[in-house]
Amino acid sequence: MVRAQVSMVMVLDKCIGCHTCSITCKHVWTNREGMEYAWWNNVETRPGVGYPVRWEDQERYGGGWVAENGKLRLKLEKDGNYKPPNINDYYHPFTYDYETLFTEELKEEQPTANPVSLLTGERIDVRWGPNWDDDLAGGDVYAGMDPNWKSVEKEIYLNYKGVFMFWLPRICNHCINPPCLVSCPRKAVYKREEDGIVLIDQVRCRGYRYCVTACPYKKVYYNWKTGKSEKCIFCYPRFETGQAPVCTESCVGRIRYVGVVLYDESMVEEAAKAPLERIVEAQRDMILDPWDPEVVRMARESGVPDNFIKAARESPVYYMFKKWEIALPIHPEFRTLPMVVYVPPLNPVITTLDRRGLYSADYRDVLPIIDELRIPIRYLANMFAAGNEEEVRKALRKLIAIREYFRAVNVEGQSSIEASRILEENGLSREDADLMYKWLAIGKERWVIPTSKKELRIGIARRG
Amino acid sequence: MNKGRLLALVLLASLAITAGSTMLDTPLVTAQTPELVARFVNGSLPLDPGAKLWADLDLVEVTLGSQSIVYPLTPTSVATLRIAAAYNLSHVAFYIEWDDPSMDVEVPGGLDVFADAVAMQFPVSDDSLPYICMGTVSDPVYIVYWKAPEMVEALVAGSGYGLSPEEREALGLSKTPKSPIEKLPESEQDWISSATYEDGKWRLVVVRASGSSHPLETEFRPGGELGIVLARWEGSEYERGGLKKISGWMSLKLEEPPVGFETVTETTTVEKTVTVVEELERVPYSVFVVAGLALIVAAATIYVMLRRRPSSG
Repeated sequence: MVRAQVSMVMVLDKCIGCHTCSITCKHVWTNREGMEYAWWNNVETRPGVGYPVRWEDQERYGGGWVAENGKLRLKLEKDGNYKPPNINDYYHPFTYDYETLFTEELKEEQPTANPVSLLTGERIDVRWGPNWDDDLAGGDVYAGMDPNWKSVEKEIYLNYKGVFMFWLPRICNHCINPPCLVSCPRKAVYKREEDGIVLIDQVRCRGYRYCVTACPYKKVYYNWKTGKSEKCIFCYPRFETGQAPVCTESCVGRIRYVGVVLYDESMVEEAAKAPLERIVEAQRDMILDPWDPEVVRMARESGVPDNFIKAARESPVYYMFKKWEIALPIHPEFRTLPMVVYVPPLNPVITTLDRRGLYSADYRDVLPIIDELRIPIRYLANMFAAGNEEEVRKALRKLIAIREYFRAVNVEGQSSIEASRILEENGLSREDADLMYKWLAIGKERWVIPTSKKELRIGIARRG
Repeated sequence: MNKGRLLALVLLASLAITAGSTMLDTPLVTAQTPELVARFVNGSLPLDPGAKLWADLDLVEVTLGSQSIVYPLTPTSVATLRIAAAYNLSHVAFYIEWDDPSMDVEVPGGLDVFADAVAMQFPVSDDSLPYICMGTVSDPVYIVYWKAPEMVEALVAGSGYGLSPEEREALGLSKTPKSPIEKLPESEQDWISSATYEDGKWRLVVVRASGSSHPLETEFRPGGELGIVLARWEGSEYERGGLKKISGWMSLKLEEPPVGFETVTETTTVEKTVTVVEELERVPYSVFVVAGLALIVAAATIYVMLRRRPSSG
């Protein structure tokens, strides 16, 4: 069975941390009572603790899957711990008493708008927020508490000279093996047959919050007002009409790419159970080549409409995740097969010269050597490859190769044929380079979204 | 269904549960099947849990064990509820109390807060003893679900998938079932409740008209006997949904009303009103006698008419 799956790539080098994605999402979907604390899209500062605090620590939150004796089990079920996070694990939502600014009597001091709780309406002392590490300058306190420091001598990177940072925007990963769906005894969570978007049926949901605990990314939010749980819906009303989700549409850094991929449903279980060192590879193996006639035949047989097959061929996600292998799934060790994938940051290329006016020893020619980058490979591997550093190196090497190639052509005046050896060494072609340039540098045609018509979905089989 | 058969079923069911529990390593919950008798009250049924009537009645202590049949399995532990029941000419009431060191109610922003709750499950039809885990298509169950501090719902489980969309619509349910357990239509949401939490103890009274006005609603017939299961969710232990403690099937007997009331056995659809209990308190005793007599006459007439029809055909 071949399925189509909607997917997103986020290129972290391009994120400028402006939070426009979060704000547009908030205004469109969660600007309601009961959801004040909820950010279907949020942007985190790394190293840092994220939102909710230290969400990656599953010993604390009990999300995701555990592979045991060749079987997958929900961690929450294995631990028998069904407790969802507390409001303080997220943050106490607040606004400001702006009215004071207009009504205060004339005094020596300027009037101040004080923070007011959005839950109780009373004045509160704000001590934590959804991106406290960044906005409120808590980095020195929180950077060290990042769970991704595993096997990294973090002290080196926390001092002034070795410090690094990048932003990590997050939405629901619309996983192929979603634990939120499996954990729901009411069967309120479902994964759409036609595009794999994971949704919560607000009629079936009774607010048990097992899904909140089961999601290792903490991307299901309990609405305390309605008593039901909610999550990112991949802006499906927009998606169905060929438009990108609002977070993507509004992204200032143009970091988001949206497309569909085709995958082999019979490989899902194996991929989810794969040993950690090859779990990224297993997830890639599951994704099929939309140009392969056999895949096309099987996709049609499975009821995938032709416009989805066509879109899969033009999908930036297919190229970045499968073909070029520059995108990586976030925390694949949770075994959910997340379908939002990230191009890891190279971190800004350092351009300081040494005393002799030459680039320092950390550089091969002009561009840096992968293992001498500011961000430790191990840190990125912990976040994006279940600790497999080679996957990260492979991605970063290609990102550098593309820079070397264009520098050779545009700065050093080599012919593209001459310079293409740089590409070939890294398994890329000149066509790949042009496509990468168009997508990554110029940011053109960042989403390829097939419209979804009901009559085209008739032949799609139900999920088992 | 005669009493002997019901008792046998109750015993069999409790044996099965006991055996199941033993195999699943959970405490024995129904080694002895308590019997709950609903007392006839000639007058009003007080909604106030502190009313004298509830103090006068004998409470039946029921032991509940962890639900360990379906996901999510509840960590092994036990809990108790103390219950009493009473009925009058028009209504049936249950008094339930239990010790609970923490009062758990939902609060704004209470993302990890789960309210204390209890439920009672009855067979829809009193000639059956359905599957204890929320019934089956052929043997549905009727559930009263109370959640602290004041929510009460009438639910039905088991029947949903056995009915056609047309039948479901006629019953006031959504065309297709959204869940194995469903809320009955608004017109059948006729339980009223009152609860207090004091000194580490919840006291709850729920009251409903005893007749049945819906095919999926249990009727509480004077002198009748039917099964009852109790469930409890302890909020401080994050219990909700399948994470709960339950009893086995027990027997609920509505004692025979005193002479002069005993022939009121036909199902009479009692008009529903949420203020009925308060009204009853103001109605003089003689009205009940008159109403009772009228009902007897009506019942007798119906009985005679029904007897005549087949012989004439």
